[in-house]
Amino acid sequence: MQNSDEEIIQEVLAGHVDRYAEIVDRYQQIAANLCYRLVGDRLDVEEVTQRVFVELYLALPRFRFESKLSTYIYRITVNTVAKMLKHDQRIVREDEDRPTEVPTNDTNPEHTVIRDETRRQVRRCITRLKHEQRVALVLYTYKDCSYQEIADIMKVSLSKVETLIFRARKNIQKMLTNHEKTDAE
Amino acid sequence: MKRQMLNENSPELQSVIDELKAMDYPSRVDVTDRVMEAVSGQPESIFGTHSKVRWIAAAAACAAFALLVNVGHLLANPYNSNQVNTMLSEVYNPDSYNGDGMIMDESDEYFL
Repeated sequence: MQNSDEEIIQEVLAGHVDRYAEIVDRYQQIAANLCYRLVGDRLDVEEVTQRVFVELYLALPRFRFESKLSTYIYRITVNTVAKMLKHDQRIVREDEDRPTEVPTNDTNPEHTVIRDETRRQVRRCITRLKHEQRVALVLYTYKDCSYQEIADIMKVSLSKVETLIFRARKNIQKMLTNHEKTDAE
Repeated sequence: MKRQMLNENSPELQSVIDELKAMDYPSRVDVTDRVMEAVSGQPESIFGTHSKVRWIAAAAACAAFALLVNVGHLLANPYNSNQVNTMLSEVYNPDSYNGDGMIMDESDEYFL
């Protein structure tokens, strides 16, 4: 039977550091996916993920299990990304619009082109949002986080989350309209 | 109003949101070894000895602060107001003085 997060963390805190690997195995892909949605290729996702789990390890003695471990990991990921974007500008890549190769079973070239274009458009819209709006929207669409969870992760009020998501959607809508106009011209 | 507008997605916006929902990191990450290497060198410093030292230092700082507050309070208020009022009434109000406990010696004769 699989041990619960709390049991593993208690053991880690008691000195069995090797058990921490189980926590990393369990959540690293989730953290990486969230990071990827937040910044795309602008940061080295593996580098961010590694930092997230080192930060989490350092923060374990303060974790009281008042929220889910996954929520705590989201919060650390959001903070780590913000910190790295602020301080580690040197690793920010310039080719934001570079299409990502995503494995797919669809062999229809037309579908592939359309999907790549949509993906590029999504990334363009997301990267142009203000950081707070981007974080709120990504969390909203990620694992269907509730507004309350987003507020807890971002450490802001519930009404602020509503406003951020509302503005993010409105701005994306505006960008899409402008994009269509540009295409038509 | 705001909530209503949140639910009104245009098809384009909805496709962006759907795409965002499906956007995962394209490859599997495996940073376990790197993380374990980074954290395994410092378990004692985080959860063991150094943690205790931090707690002891924090407790000592609290005690020192409490002592300072007490000393400051004593310096600012050496007597409480009741004590001061009693002392003043005994000195300046002759009616309240009954002479109890007064011991006279020979030198006191000058004042009789």
